[in-house]
Amino acid sequence: MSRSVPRSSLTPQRPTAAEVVVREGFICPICMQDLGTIDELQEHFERDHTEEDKSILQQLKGMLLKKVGRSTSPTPERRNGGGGLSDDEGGGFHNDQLITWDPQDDGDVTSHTEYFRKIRDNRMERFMVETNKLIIRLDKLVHEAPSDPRQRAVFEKHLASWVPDHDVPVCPGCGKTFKRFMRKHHCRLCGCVICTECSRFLDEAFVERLTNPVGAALSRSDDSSRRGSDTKPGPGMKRSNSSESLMSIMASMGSKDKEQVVRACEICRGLLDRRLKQMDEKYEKTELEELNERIVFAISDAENLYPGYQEMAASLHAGETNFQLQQAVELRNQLMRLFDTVDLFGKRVAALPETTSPVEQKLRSKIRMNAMDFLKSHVLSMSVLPSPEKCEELQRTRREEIKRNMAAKRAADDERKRQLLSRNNHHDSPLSARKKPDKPKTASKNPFDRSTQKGSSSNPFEEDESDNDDSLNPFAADDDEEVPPKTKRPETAGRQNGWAAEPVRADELDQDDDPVLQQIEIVKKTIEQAKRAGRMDEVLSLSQNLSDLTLFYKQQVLQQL
Amino acid sequence: MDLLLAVRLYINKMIDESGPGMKVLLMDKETISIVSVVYAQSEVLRKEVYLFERIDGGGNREIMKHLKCICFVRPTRDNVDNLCHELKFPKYGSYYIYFSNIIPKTDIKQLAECDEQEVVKEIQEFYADYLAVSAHVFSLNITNIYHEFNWVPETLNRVMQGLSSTLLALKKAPLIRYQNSSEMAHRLAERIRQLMAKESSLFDFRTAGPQPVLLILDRREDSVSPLLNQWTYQAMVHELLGIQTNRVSLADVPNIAREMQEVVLSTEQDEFYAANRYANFGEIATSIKQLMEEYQTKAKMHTKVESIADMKTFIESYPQFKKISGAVSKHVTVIGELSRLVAQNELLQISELEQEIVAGQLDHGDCFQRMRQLIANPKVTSLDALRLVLLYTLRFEKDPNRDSHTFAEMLRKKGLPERWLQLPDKLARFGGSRFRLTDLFHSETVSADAFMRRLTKGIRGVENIYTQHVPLVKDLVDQLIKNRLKEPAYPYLGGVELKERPQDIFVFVLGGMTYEEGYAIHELNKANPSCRVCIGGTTIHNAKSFLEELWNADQP
Ligand SMILES: [Zn+2]
Ligand SMILES: [Zn+2]
Ligand SMILES: [Zn+2]
Repeated sequence: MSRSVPRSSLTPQRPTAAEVVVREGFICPICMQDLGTIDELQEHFERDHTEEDKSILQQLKGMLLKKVGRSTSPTPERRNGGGGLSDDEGGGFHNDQLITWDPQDDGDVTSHTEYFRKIRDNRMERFMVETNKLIIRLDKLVHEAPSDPRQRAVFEKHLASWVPDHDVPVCPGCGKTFKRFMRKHHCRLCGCVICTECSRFLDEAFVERLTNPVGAALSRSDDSSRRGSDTKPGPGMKRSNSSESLMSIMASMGSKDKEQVVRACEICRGLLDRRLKQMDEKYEKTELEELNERIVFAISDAENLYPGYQEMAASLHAGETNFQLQQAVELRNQLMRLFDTVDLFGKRVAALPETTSPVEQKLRSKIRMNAMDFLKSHVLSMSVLPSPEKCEELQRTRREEIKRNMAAKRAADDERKRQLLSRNNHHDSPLSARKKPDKPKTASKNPFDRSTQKGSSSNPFEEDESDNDDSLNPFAADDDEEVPPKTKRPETAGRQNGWAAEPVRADELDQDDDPVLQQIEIVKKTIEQAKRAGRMDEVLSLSQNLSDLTLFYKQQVLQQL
Repeated sequence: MDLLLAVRLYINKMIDESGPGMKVLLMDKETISIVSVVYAQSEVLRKEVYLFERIDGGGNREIMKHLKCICFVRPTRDNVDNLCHELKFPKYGSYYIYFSNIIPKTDIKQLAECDEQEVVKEIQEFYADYLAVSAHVFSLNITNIYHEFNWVPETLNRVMQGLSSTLLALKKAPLIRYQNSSEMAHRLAERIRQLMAKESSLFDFRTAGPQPVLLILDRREDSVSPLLNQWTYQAMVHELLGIQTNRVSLADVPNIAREMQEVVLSTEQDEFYAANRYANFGEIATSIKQLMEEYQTKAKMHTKVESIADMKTFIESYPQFKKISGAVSKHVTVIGELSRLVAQNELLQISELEQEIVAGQLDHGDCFQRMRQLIANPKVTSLDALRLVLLYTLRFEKDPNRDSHTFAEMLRKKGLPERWLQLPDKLARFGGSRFRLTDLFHSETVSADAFMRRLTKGIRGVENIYTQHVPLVKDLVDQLIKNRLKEPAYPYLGGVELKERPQDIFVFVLGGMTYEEGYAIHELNKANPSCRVCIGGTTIHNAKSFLEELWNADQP
């Protein structure tokens, strides 16, 4: 369907050109014409390809699996990943599974997170306390130290409680033995003794950012990558624009005397460095991240709305009246807007300024690929809505067929009753007889026919619509306007959440009852089940349904009178 | 008991735990295969997993703090070291770490001490340490396990880990039975039991019904299955083309289109394959033909599709069919190549004789004649000739008329490399009757079921002559299901016995299983709805890889 066919397995390989550059273009799966945009493809599909073409697609898809019967996998939550043509409904697919194993539980897991955290946090706490101590000293060194060199030396000595020179025969930083002529230095932050090689001066910006994070963040914009720990001591300490407080101190300290600047050992610098990195972590979202988020949100919104829309469209095509055409049109527009959003932000990803990073490139192309995959699989399989005129016509046809069927059915029923009476034989219950599939066949041409989409019907309300109506309303023939309130089909909610009412057995019902009364009975029983299952949402909607049914029944009785 | 779904659930869980946002999946050489056999790239894309990286791929991955890292690796020393380094210099914003098996506490401690930037959000064990070939078949992807017919400690350890991870993934703490004739099976069984004892809190699974059973077998007990030509689709592809972690190379196929040089056969991503992997070669060709005819009717076209060559032409002239049928065109290519090889190498004739040797009543004289004819046929490859000789060696091992010299000469004349000529002797040591518990060919020890099959064969006479052979594993598991597997030959470890019929069964073949055996277990599962049997092996062999294994088995 597309030119950029996604690799079907994720074994990483060198990205091929086709992978990095997600090519534009949508190809019609039926005539292979290349259409530039989703809109054009949609338009083309609706204009040039009739329902029949679509149904060929669907049927072929089904045929691929006709030969099934060997597949072992009970796959409650697998999706067909590479199918390409299929929408989320899965069309008429279903695998005959000869082996039905229990649904697979999650495998065993062991979490070490808590233990890991305990160890890390202990350690980090020590670091934190230590680092805080250093920062306080650093702050004092740059803000409170006396400017007189001698006084300053005393101040420093006390602040970090310097280790006596003669206690340290070996430099703890590099392990070199101190010879007589070698200089010993003290780390101004922890007071340890180190050699010249191992000691460094912290640069002004570094110190400033640690002791005055807010101010430093403002002035940091031009040169944020500079890190103090890498700066060798030396005359390069130029006055750089706006870090005023520190600079004035540096100036007052007199930067000629190198000993007067903050000298630190490697360990202390490491601790401070880590703190700075953590402060840096508060990064802003990248543009790519933002675009990706928009795409993912739009996709998930669209995925939520999509099945509902498909159902509406199918229902309208079947000539049913439980949805308004207007509703469907609005939903469709909403979906199209979401598709546009996905497309738009996908294009924005492509339009991002060039990057030299191959990984960034790959990331972008994958984000685009995701957007395109989604569009391709959803745009084409999206049902077309009938025009208002067509819609009315469909509804009229349906009503007439229902009427015809009812007449036929009643005749058959009467006939059967006569036979029953004459034979006085109770084998055949009228309810089950009524289920014989003499339902209207208009829908079967439609690829979106319910019957191809629904699997099981363990639920009494999942019976085919038309059947349901027939058995419900023997009076429909008398009055076109009055169709009994539709029983809500709890399949969407119920199935997703693993709840489905058990079928009410025919023999539990009083066979002589009016079908509407029977239906009422069924609904009541289902409400009971739903209550027991704790499905309050189902109970509520079914109760509404029940009251509608009751009202309907009353009206009919009144009319008959 | 769905091995494949269990891995998928693990991976779903990893991705879910990291929440929304762009993600990178960091794996090692082995976990990459574990993931790729169960997940399609397009599927993980939808979950915002955009990048795949190797932890052992050598240093220079870019720093991308706006990505979340899901790290799924085996708990090896190298991986822990690499991960320590990764945590000290994190390239991604946060880390969700999953080890595919049990990891020592000390390693966790070491990692925790490296996480000075506090980037780790989760660190867990998810027991997906095996390749899920299908719902009931797994492989550990380890070849050449025998060293002088014994374990090398590292290999034993690795196999123990892989096998035990399947138990943990499916939450089973089984009773263990092993093939008594194999010291290797015994040692592996012991190791599994030790592990279960040591990690008793981990293996504390309550099961309703009888305790699961793990049966450990040694390939040496049945060298026949990996030597036979196969006719069910999956087994045949592996035999003739080779399947390596769901991938099949078609690069050697004459005039192959570039996009077909390597194809992926995955039950997850390819519905046609899922539906037809156990289908007979003939059936698949028929079903593709039907598919094309139906398409023609629908599209109101008329082209004759009789042969596989016609199918290829058809696909080339109707690109829209190619688009619609998607995977089918790939299978037409694969099937086309298979049928070319079948014809080119006289495989039908060879297979018929193979089947006669291992499952028929052929006497030595007949066999000798037919083999001489076939081996002399220039269309028969030296590999196929060698396989015939190897089967002959096993079948007539004790026969006084056995004439290995003649065949050795013929093989030499066919140009078989000298070192392969040692294989018949090696095979006798590897899987000869001195080692085996069962007489693979005419047996009283083999089950009543197999005996009945043999009896009725002559009467029914309709059995497919190319698929007469039934792998030994099927008989053994069948007896196990009926709780009739002989105790002395396949004892329980630790003396506890199961009194009832087992329901959940793991079969593990050290030395490698075959797809024929996978199919046989599938058939058993179908026939016994109350039972759930999984089978796995150190690897999945075809004849070529088995001969390598055989070659190395008695090397020090
Ligand atoms: Zn078109
Ligand atoms: Zn030093
Ligand atoms: Zn220090």
